[in-house]
Amino acid sequence: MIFPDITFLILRKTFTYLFIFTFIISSPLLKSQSRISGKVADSESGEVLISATVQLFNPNQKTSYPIRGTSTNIYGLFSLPGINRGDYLLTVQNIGYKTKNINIVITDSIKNLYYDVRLVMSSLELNEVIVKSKRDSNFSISSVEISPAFLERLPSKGGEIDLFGALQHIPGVTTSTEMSNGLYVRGGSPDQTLTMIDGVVIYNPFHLGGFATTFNTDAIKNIKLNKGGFPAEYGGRLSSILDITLKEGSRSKFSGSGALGLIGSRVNVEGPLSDNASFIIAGRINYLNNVQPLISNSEVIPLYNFYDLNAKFNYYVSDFDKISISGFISNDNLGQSKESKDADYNINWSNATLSLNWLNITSDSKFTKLSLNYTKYNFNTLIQDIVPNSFRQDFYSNSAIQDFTIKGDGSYISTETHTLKTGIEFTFHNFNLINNDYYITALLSDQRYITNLNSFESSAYVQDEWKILPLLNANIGIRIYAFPEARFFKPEPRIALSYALSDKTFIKAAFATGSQFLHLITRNDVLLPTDIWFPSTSVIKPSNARQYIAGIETQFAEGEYLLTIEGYYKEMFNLYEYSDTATFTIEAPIEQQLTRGRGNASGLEIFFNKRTGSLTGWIGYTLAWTRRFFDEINNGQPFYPRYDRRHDISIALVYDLFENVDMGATWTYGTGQAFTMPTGEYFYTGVFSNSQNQNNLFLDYTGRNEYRLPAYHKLDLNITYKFQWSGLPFDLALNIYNVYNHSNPLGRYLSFQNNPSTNKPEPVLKQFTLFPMLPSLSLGVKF
Amino acid sequence: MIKKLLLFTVFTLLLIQGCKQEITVVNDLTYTEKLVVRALLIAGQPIKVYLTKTLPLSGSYNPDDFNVKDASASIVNENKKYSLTYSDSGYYISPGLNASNGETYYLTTNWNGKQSTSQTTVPFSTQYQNASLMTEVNGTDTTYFLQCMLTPGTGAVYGVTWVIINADSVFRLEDTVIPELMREQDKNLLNLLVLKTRNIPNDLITKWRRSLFIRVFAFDSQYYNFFLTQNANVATTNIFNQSNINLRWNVKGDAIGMFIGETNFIIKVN
Repeated sequence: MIFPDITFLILRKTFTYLFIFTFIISSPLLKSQSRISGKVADSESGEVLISATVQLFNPNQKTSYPIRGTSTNIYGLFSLPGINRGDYLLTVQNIGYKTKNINIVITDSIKNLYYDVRLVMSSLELNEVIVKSKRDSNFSISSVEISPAFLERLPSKGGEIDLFGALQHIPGVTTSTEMSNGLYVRGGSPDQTLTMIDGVVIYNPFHLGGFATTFNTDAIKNIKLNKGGFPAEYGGRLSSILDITLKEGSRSKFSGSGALGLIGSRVNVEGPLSDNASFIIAGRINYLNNVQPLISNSEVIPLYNFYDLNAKFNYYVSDFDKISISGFISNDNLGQSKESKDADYNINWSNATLSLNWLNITSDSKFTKLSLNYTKYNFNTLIQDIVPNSFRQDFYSNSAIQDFTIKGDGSYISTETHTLKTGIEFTFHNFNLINNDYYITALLSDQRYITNLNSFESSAYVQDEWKILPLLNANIGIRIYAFPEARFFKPEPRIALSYALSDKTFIKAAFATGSQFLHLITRNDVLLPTDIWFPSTSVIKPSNARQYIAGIETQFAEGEYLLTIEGYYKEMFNLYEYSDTATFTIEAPIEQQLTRGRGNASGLEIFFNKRTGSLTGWIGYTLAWTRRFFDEINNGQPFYPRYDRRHDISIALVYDLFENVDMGATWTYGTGQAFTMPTGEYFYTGVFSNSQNQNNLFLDYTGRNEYRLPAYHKLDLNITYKFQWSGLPFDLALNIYNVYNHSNPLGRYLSFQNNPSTNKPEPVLKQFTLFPMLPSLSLGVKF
Repeated sequence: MIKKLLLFTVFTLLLIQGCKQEITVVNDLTYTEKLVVRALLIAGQPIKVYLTKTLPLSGSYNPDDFNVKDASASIVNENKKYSLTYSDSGYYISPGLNASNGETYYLTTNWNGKQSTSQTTVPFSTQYQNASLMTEVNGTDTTYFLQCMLTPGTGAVYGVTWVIINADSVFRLEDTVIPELMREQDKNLLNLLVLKTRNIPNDLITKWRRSLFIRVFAFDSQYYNFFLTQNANVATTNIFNQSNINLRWNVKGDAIGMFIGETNFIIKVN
């Protein structure tokens, strides 16, 4: 039975109580004061602006701390309730736009004032607040937003904008290898980051090797990363939230962009369909697999290609109702080089989503959103030996997921001290899994070989952004998480507090619990990707975590500088990995090959951000520990996961060198990765022989990941020259990846080479590096 | 809205051509010396414990370099302690001490301050149903293997190999790989384990069809986890195949290795 009756009853009652609670807490707070609300949008395209800063000042004291402040939500809406009679100055600011000032007079007869604010783009102000901590109302912690405009000015590999590459410069965010784009946030593995595009879950949002992010930045409006202690409106993952919002498409005119490259091309088209409808379509294709064999015969560099497509259609039923349909597909293929001597492998993964949304602005303070989502994900790994007499490593796995989700969210700005949010979500999951030590075509079609699992996941939340005292803000909430297959029903309390020591300095703290019923399982003895998403069952328990965060945030020099220091400690339970004795055959149930453990992560992050002026950017430092504890792994001894990184320094700067020349630079330093390497050799004979020969030579590995690769450090540069030609503004950009050509190790391994003098194979330690210094040049024209 | 109309990468060739560097680096791997224990206690045979050690990665050692000759070791069985003395080639023995079915033995070693302990029980022999030659036809290919069914005993795991013995009862040929081990929980509805050998080369079948035997191995169940992980530490040059799992030795303490009881017997194939 998918949904046991008793669980349904519990859920139904819980959700009923949550809605009653929401209603009760909001109703008595209504007062007879005025409310200023509105929508903020781009003056040209009509695209609503997220996280625009809205502040209310005493007009006679413009430089003072604002009387009230808020920011626009993901629908571009804001509301300032509880405003007393008087004269005010309303200022609206956003990255890259001219600040708009509006004089307001509130009288006794005015109850509600609504403004449709249109901001005008301004290149002069593009540098302001390029990366900002989510401190709009001081209700959240560990949250960072990045403007797509800022991403364009950072160095990149081959000129392609790399969202995840930029996120990895944020303190607390690391990557596993130079080849991987997976986000490892505060000691959590990539599956512990919930990645959403317009509210739809994406299981694998990565293209390989940092050539590009799965998300086409041409179509992105807003990027928000929450590194921990996230509010109750988010759930289903242990570590972090990456919330990406797509553009809606211009409502005023058709426009587009395109790129043609030697390894990839892209196109973006947007515009109005009618007075009430708009669209945006953005697609990319990469054909590196066709180009590479022509110019390189590397036996190690794999063949690779991908494509992705984002599309979104919006229909504005009225000023208060909007219906949108958005979709996303991507497909990646990775195969061995034709010159490969190690393994024959073919790995491909694909994502597809479809989302139908209805946004209703019930009033200037109430918003509801109903969504129907479909997600399809497939990951396929085939590895076959091609080396005679080598260790057999054949492996085939397929992990296919289909999700159907219905969810509703409501937001209500009730008074000047309370903003309530509530929501409910139901998801039906279908999993098809194959794990075997050889490949035959029948594996894909014969249901006897496929592990088919259905599961049901549901959650509900309510949270209150509560201004407890003039200097004390809180975000208090609870999320109820239910997963009947594992008989799991758990409330997850969340609380974040912010106390203003002054108008520029805040101390913050947060506590959050979270659950995750999906487990990303990878083989640890194979460097190639072998991902399988496995759901919780009656045997495999949902993972859960507790997070504790504390920090201080302060501004200097009229807000030009921002300094944030945060410490965190996170405990994770019911983590799963393949056991040492796992067998990969269709006869062996996957869940019996897994072993359960726990983990923890702790760290200190310092983030120093220069936000305005000709030089902008940040310096970040992270001191962190990540540990895993499994009784059945590493002989029961604690170990560091590969991505454990003790010290991490990141610098990201953008500098206006001259009026028509600017440059961007990033520098990264990180402690070497934890790695497993042998420390000695020994002879060991099995059951049948007592003789010593080379076939009985073994390597002694002292423990998992006890060896450290050398430190990773790299400088990237981007210089952009702007000029006019034929009346059009051009950008000529030079990108240099790994400027001082440092050989950063992807991994190390022992290679056995024959010693002519002894005629015996001798071990030699080799290091494998992916990317040396890579210059690239790009030309762009704007219209 | 400002848009980029055209963007193309000129030096992409450099990006691709420049990828991948493979360099030899100074070996900075830290060596940890360990005692290596290997002892198969085969029912009816003298107990011999083979003690060697790990050495720094070199590849140029002689086999004798690994042997440990100055360790102290003892075995306890039924509350009686047997001191082991060094014999030769790394072997330690106690004259007159033979392994017996159903007996439990405790091994203690001490070398250079490194101590280890382990224990094992020598399994009993077991009842078998039959042994037969099986044929599988796949298109034009025909493969042969041997199969037998037996009743599992508690605390033991089982595997089989094919054996060819000529009419004079002189061993001619025997497979040296047990393809899989089966545990008591793997038994079928008839409470029997179905054990299969690896494929027998077709030319041998043609010549020795009447001389086929199957050898049944019964090991202390501790051997099962080692069997599953035994290839993890094999030296390999495959850069994509990084060992990240530990062999499941049953020797505990400052040593690695196996101290395992074994019983084996052969059955004539019908």
